[in-house]
Amino acid sequence: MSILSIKSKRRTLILAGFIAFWVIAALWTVNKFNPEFWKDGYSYYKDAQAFLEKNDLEAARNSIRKARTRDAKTSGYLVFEGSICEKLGLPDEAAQAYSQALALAPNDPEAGLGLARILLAQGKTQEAATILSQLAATDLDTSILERRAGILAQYGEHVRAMADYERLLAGDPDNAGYLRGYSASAMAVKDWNSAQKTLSKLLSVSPDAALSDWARGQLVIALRAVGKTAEAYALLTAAPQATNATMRAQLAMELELFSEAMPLLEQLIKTDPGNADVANQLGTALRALGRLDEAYTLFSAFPDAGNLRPRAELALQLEKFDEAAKLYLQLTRTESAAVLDREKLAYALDRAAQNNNQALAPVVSSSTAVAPAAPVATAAGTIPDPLPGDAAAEKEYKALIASEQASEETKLRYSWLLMRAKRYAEAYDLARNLQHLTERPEELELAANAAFLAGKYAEAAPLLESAATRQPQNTIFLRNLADAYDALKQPSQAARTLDRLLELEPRNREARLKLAGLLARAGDKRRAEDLYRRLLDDEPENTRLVDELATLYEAQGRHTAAIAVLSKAPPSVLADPNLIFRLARLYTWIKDYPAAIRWYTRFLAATGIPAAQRAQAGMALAGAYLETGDLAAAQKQLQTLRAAVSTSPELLLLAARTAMESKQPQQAVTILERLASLRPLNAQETQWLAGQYRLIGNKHKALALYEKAMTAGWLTAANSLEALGDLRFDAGQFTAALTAFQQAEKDNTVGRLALKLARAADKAGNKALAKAAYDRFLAGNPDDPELLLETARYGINSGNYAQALNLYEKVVAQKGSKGLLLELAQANLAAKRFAMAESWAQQAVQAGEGGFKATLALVQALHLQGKISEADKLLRENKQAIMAHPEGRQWLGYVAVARDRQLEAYDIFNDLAKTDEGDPGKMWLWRGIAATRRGDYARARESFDKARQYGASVPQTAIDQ
Amino acid sequence: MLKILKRKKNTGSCSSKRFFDCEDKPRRIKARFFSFLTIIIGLFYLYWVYAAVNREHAIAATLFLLAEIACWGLFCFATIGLWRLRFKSPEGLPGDGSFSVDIFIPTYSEPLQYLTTTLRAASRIEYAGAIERYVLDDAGRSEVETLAMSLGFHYLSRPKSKQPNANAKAGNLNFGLRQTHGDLVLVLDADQIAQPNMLNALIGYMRFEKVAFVQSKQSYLTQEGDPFYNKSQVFYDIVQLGMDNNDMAISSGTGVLYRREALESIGGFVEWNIVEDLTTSYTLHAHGWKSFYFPHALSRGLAPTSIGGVYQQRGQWALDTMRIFIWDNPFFKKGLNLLARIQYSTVALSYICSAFLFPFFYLIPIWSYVTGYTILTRPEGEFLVIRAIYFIAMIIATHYLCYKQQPGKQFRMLAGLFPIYMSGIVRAFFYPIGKKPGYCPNNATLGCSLASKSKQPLMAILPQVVILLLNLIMPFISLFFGLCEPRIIAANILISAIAIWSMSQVVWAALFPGDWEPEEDPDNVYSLD
Repeated sequence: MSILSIKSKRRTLILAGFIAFWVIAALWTVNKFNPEFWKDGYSYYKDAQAFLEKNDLEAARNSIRKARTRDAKTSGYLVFEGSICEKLGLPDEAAQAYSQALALAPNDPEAGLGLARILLAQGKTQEAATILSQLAATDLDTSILERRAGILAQYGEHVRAMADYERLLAGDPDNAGYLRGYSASAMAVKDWNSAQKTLSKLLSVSPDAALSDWARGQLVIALRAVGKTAEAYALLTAAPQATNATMRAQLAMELELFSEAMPLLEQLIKTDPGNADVANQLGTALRALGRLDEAYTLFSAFPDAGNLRPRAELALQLEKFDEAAKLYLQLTRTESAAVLDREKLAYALDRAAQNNNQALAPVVSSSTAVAPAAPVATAAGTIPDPLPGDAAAEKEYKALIASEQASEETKLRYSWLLMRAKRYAEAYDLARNLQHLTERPEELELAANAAFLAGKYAEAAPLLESAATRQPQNTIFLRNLADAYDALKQPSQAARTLDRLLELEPRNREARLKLAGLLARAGDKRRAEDLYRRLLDDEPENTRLVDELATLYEAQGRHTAAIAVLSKAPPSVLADPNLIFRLARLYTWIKDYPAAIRWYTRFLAATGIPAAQRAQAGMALAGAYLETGDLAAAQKQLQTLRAAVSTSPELLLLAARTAMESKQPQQAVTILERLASLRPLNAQETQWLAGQYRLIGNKHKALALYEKAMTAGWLTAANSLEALGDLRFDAGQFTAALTAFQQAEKDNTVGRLALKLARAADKAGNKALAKAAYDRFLAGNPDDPELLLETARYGINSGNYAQALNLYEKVVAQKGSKGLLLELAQANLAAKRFAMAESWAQQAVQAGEGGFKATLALVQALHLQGKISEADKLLRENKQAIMAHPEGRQWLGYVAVARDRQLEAYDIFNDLAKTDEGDPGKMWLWRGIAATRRGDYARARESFDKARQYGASVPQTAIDQ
Repeated sequence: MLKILKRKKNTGSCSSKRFFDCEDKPRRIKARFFSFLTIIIGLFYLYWVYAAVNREHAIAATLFLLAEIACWGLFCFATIGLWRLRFKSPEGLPGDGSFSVDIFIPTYSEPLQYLTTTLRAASRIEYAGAIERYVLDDAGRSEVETLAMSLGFHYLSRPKSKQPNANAKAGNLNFGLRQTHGDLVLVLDADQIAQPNMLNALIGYMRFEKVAFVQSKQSYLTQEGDPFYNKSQVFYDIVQLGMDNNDMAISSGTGVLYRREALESIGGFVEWNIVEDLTTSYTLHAHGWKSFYFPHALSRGLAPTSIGGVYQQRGQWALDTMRIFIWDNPFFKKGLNLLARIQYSTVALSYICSAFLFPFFYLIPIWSYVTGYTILTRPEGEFLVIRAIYFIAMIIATHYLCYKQQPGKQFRMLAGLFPIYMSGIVRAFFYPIGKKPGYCPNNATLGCSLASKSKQPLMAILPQVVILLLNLIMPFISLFFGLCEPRIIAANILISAIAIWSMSQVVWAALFPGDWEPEEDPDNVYSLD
């Protein structure tokens, strides 16, 4: 419900009043600052127009000034103000208004015209021109347009001036003044075509000779500018005058009409002998006409910057390299220097250096030079030594190449320079990028040799192949090519290349020997062997030949043949320790260990053998001793090598094997552990170490290693698996042990392994498997009484009483019954042969074997035969001893039930049930039976319920009772 | 409401059998006419704004256009929601006592003085059928237990039952729900003094089987003139009646009679939101249940008396409403009809407008004063005329839609509380369903971690004061320093006046909350037996 209190209403009223007051105050302040603030510029403009219509200029000016105060961005208000100021005779104020308008709207024609009008009236033509140039021509009359065109042309606005002249010429096409103005502006902006047209028109319409001469001169310029030199020359030749002789000579030169230019130039130089320009042109003409010496002499007579290039070129052409170098050096320091000049400078320096060096040390040059600068060499041997003057040339070459402007010729020349300096890699890097590498022989030869000498065989091979193809008689290419292929591990290619070489030089022994080696590596063993044999026939004492032939046999696995080659070698050859070592090794390989020991011993006796090779031989010797079974010698040799502390896995392995063979498991373990610290052990080594651990009694580690090997899938041998099974069995891992034994058993189904399997299966709870295994074991007719006893006990436990008792008989037959009496009694009890049980128990009691258990067994045997009173009597006689054991009390209870001493039985079973000893379910059951027989049904029910809770099965008969 | 009821019945051509429907017809016709007119004018205005916005200031122009569209949309939604109101007789609808009723009074930390009065009043509630009264004490206070037992209430407490004190009031109510078996559950806040006829007035509406709850009007003790607009007449006397017309009244959490069957059909009071009443209503409606509103106060209680308390309460409402809007949006909520979707969205939209759009409007003049720019390219006078027509039409329409229920004051409160709404909306994005924000009950005596309660009033309303002062001063500064054209300043002065008017409500109330009338003074009311 809306209830406004008085206070609340008052509060609202105060607030509303305050806000109203504030609004009024704010608006009043705004109006104070800016009277009539609600009026905009347009309103004032309308007022000004109204005043103007009434011719009240002052009022109109005031209104329009208010308009632009309101809206300073509308140029129209300013133009309007400017026009009013003009009418009021206030040009400065008008100009200011127009200027402001133009600042806002630069293309406002009214503002521009107005301002220009005032500026022209004030004589400020330049400012006016600027203003006018910004106006559209369509708004201007002819006189203004003519004046504007003139002013624009005068102040360099030629394009705008041409536009204005075009509009003027449209109205008066033959006006010479317009034509002259137009053509002058066209010439100024290099609009040659427009200039040509108007100048031609001017020549045709102008009666003024001076104007015609001017037009002709301008036309020649225009024609030359568009490349119509011939027309220009023709125009001048048609009106030859002394004043245009120079121009004619120049045009003749440009048109390469040297024969026409020369008389003109000779005439000109006669009239002005010191005119260097004419002299230079004449020199150019002479040069063009093939008169080089005269041209060079003439140029040299007027040495200036203008003829520097032709002088340099002529010096180079005339092979004046020193002078050419100097001239080109000057030229390259000028602004007009071109890349070609720098290249020629480099070339000149290069040639000058070579010339100077030739004077000091003549260079061997073989092949024909394609360029005078290139001292072509077809192979490394023919490349001249670096020249002392090469540095200057190289500097220039490098600069050119760095600028990426060097021509191919320059690169080629620089490559040769680098080759001379034996900087083959650099030379190749430069040469391989030459544009015509595969087309120009000199480039190909250079690149091939550079690559080969730089060791870039992969790059060299195809280049050498091409070069060899181009120059098939050049054996150096073939030799280098073979070496390149050899270096690239392409022996077949290398061999084929050497075959090509040997076709040219059949007696080249070096090539044949190299070919044999290459054939061997290429797999052509037969041909290699044949070649080696033939070479060896010629040089039997050539160690290298013997070595390589033996190597060839070794590579083929023909160790005996290799031994034959080495052993038949002359003593001088066999003095080489390397060959002795190889011979020893070969004997090792064919398992002739005594011979190997002999040659290794001889090798080790030699001096100057590297330590590493000596160690290798020593180890091999120890291995040979081991193989021959001479463990002492092997141990001694290994001690010499300090094998036990070695870091060589091979040596440690040898030492471990020796230790194992010598039955020293602890030492073997130490060595194998050291080996394991150096690298992971493989399958064999792991099993070795596991076995050695087992031998020294460290079953835990042995099992861990066997498990590791098993996981890795290394354990495949039956003995290893059996060892694993044993270790697992010892560790109480019966199921795992069983698995191992099963894997190990496979075909070996009888004997010791079957017994182990049976034990493991028994322990693992797999009775059926255990029984089957025991049966397999027994099938082997074992005679060990302990094993028979174990099997008998298993038979009892597994319910196979007949077999068990039979085995017991065998055991008793072998070792007598001493110590087994109680066990025999219990076994017969289990087999329900109570009479025999009584007999054995009686003997046990008499022999004092088994203590109360023997008595109890006797009680049981008697009780179970129905000899209750005897059993009862025996129990009573031994009550104290029997009652000390739950088992005894239990039997006392049974007998009590049988003897109908139900209260006693009840108490016994009651105690046994509550102590939770033995089988509580059974005790509760018997407690119930005793209670039932006593007629105590409440306790009987309680007992049976309890028995059921413990999982005991309560026979209905017991309940019925 | 009283004023409406006091109007003489104009039976004229009205044949409606609804209570007070014919008397309301003239207002309704005017409201509809002016609302429709406003919507049409608004459309024209929006088109004009679209054509006139200054595209050189694209961001400001776009925001301005969007803000105007949102305001227009909010008005459309409100018009739909208030298209017709449903009134009810103060006597209510008599019942026969066939329902068994449980009265729940959840408490956590309310002063014992208030609780004593509340329990006494609740113990006097009359009802012919079976009735059980329960105090649900989430603080496990022994003195409350003693008090409850002494007044014949059952005392239930989660802490004393070794149950986790989770999910605030909703969790507490659900705990009570599980311990009781009444057909209906009347929930009263711990400070709500109920009238003895409360149940008898409401229970008759429960004969309609699909009605999940009946919400009675809330009445609060406020300072003179209700400076914080705690009575919320627009909501309790208009909006709820509009929702009731669609059988979609919203529960206010107290003075509400729930049907147990309905609550159990949705698994009890909804716990994922702090404002369990709105969320539970929302869920019940989505499950096809209906709800009624009884537009006469049957209880009255406490409301925030300081700007800190108002911030806490309204901020919580805004946060939870926006959590629903963002994470369980009405337009994607399965089971709601279109009207319900619009009604629930209107609540959220009003918060969005209050938080962002109204302040934006009040910042526009300041922006113009400082930069000299205008959002519109058309002459200012043209804008003022068109906007004024639209504005006046909207005021008239709102006047009739919320007839005599101080819609202007409601608007000023919404506009003035923009910082807390802004905070609530932003926070809502960080609290999805399953991640509940902290909560502080109204008028609690226990320490509350929310900083807003401990803020000095001036600090709490600093943003509003800044906007107010800037609008007040900036026209002069801009004028003196030539920052803006006088014409633009003059046009914006009128907008600034509206901004000052809007901000002044909260600023004044925060700084000068006023005195208590003796009959509204809690010290008096809660000391009565």
